Amino acid sequence: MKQLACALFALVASAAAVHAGARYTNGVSVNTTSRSGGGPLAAARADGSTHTNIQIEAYGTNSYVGAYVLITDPAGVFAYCWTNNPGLTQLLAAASNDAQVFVYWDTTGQCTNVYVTNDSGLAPKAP
Amino acid sequence: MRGELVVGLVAAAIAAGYCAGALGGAHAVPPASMGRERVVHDTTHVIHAGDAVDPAQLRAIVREELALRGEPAQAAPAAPEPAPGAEAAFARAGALIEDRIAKGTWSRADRDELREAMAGLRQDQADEVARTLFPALNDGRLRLDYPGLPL
Repeated sequence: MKQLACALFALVASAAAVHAGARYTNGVSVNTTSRSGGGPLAAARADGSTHTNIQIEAYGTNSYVGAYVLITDPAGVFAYCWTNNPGLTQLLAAASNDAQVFVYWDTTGQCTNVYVTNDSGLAPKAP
Repeated sequence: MRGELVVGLVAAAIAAGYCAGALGGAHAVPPASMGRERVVHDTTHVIHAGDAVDPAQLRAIVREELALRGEPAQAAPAAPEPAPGAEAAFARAGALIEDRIAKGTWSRADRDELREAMAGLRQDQADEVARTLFPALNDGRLRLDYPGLPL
């Protein structure tokens, strides 16, 4: 009887695992040579290193708008990129807590490409 | 053929003026006769079908019609109003950043002071602040002495 219960439990557990949906882990990276970096905000918070973080700030008044991103990888390598482009500012400001943000920048530190990804496979941000 | 085309254009311009005036109630012009003999008739200009149309006369008619509708012939774009105190605020922000780059550190008080100065800036000035601040942070000439964001 006990063996039957264990078998049933294993069957239910494996079925649940099969239907869990895709999950994967992306880390936070900064490459100062290719001038690119980013990662999931949740991964940045969950990382064991105290350095790792991704911070986004959009700023503005009635006269101007802008935004910037700070990405710091687990080794403490960091980079800022900023933009005055209203479209890119909007993209960055719209990044949710569980989004993945990846940016490229030029030699003056201005963001050239911005990718904000929402993906069910990414881990949600935990406290 | 060319004369007919020009006359057609003039008729269209006058008709537009008439419609605008009739709708606005400010400029009542009798409907232009669409017959071949008299195409356009108002108090100052008469053009007959087949006449060679003087371009200067045509320009004068269009100008008059636009003036009667209260529209300038060519609207000039409005110049942006300079924000009061923008230059002084920009100079203050620039001096603060340059001074802190020389010292190598950026504090929370510096951030607050910069935010205050930036409140009065124009887009081009705010961009210049960012263009100075972020490269200095990226290449290590300026380091934050607190956890958080610099701007």
